[in-house]
Amino acid sequence: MDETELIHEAIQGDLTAFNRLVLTYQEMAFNLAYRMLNDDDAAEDATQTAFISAYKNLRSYRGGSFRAWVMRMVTNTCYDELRRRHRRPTVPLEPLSAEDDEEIESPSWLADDSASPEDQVENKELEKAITHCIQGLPEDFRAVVVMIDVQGLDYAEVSDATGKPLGTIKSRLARARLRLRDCLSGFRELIPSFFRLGEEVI
Amino acid sequence: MKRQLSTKDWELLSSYLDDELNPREKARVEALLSAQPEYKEALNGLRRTKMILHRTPVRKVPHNFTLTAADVQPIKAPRWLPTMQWSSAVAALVAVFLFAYQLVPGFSGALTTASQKAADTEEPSAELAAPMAAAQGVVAATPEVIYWGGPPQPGAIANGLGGGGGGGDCSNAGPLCGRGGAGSPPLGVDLAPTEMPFPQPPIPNSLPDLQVQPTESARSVAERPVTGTGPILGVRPDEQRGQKLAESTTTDEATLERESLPSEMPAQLPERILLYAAGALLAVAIGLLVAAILIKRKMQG
Repeated sequence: MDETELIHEAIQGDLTAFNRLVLTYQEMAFNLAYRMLNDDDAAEDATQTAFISAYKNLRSYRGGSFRAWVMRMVTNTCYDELRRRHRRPTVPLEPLSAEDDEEIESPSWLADDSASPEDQVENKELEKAITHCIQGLPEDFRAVVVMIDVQGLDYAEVSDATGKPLGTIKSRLARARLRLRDCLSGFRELIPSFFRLGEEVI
Repeated sequence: MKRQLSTKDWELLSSYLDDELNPREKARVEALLSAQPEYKEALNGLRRTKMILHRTPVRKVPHNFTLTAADVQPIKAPRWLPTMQWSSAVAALVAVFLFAYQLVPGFSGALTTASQKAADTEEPSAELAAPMAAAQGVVAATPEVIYWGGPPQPGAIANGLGGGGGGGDCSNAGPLCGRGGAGSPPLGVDLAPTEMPFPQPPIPNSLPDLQVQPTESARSVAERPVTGTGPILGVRPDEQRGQKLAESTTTDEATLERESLPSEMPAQLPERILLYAAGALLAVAIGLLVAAILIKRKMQG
């Protein structure tokens, strides 16, 4: 059964058909939520909420990329969670220094002290650096750059998912990439040599 | 000297990287890239950034997010919810109406006039009630007559002869001394007309030529018999000035005070109650609105 048939069955109320769609997109949805919220538990909740919302609103799906439609549900759920966080701020992103209880602004805290194989360390360091830089972006820029550069959606899909025109997507993506470039250049030692910024790509 | 790239330049380079430009824009960017080294450098920086982001490790899902029937079961609305659907709007409307009644003069006046007309139509029935009461053997008390000042003297108009005033020197006066025109005597005092304890000052007749001739209508009014039980203000004879002739001793000061209360008081009380009611209704309306929003959110979530 292909995706179109599954969607049709799900719209008719077939929960099994919908769950097959969930299995297809749950990883992408969870990763988008995680990159948006930077918290495993919150990402888990947001993903579950987004799929429940998607099932309840299946009739509003008007064709096109179902992947983009699901990502729209996830994005909206994440925006709701971020708004809730703004209303009730809790814990700062950076840890507090033990000496003076002030936030550590240097990215040195990102370094992992545990011993591990070189490639694992490389990946972990890279992920921490990327996560740190992505979290520094405005929420709208964050959603666009994650969907395009991390998850590989095209511009039209992201336009559908965010409900913004194509020109806005292009503009936000360019500015997000520029900021990320500047941010990642501060992590030269954490980034594999092949990707180091300022060096020519062959 | 290096040229600073504009935001538009960065947008063009970013879209060029993803092959999202139309042919004309693409040709323009390629011309810039071949001619300006800073464009090439900027493009390489964006490309490396994109490659790094693309290498972001994918996180494994902690569990499957498949749904169960319980997850998607619609939340049952409470039974009373449909009845509350319009309560907020109704309460708000009533509150607005009551506030308008209080604040808009024309609106309030129109309603008052209408209610006044209604009250006027009821008055004849009250007049009809009096003969009925008389027929039932109820003896109406003799009306109390209170005299202010002396009888009109020929030429005394505009001489400043007002009410009885104070009692003057009361050292040798009786119990009625100093009570003024409308004072009430203590119980048990003989209120029969007595000789005034002090001589009456002569009234100067400054306008001897001015004579007031009572008109026919005034005479007819004076000859009309007094009926009813309310106090009657009139002009007393010379020997009774400054005294209250209480032929009927059933009326005391409290009764007089009650009767002299401003007539607006009964009208003000309901208005104040209406104002409080409007405020309470507005508070109820806001409360219901907030409750409705919260319940709706809970049901959607």
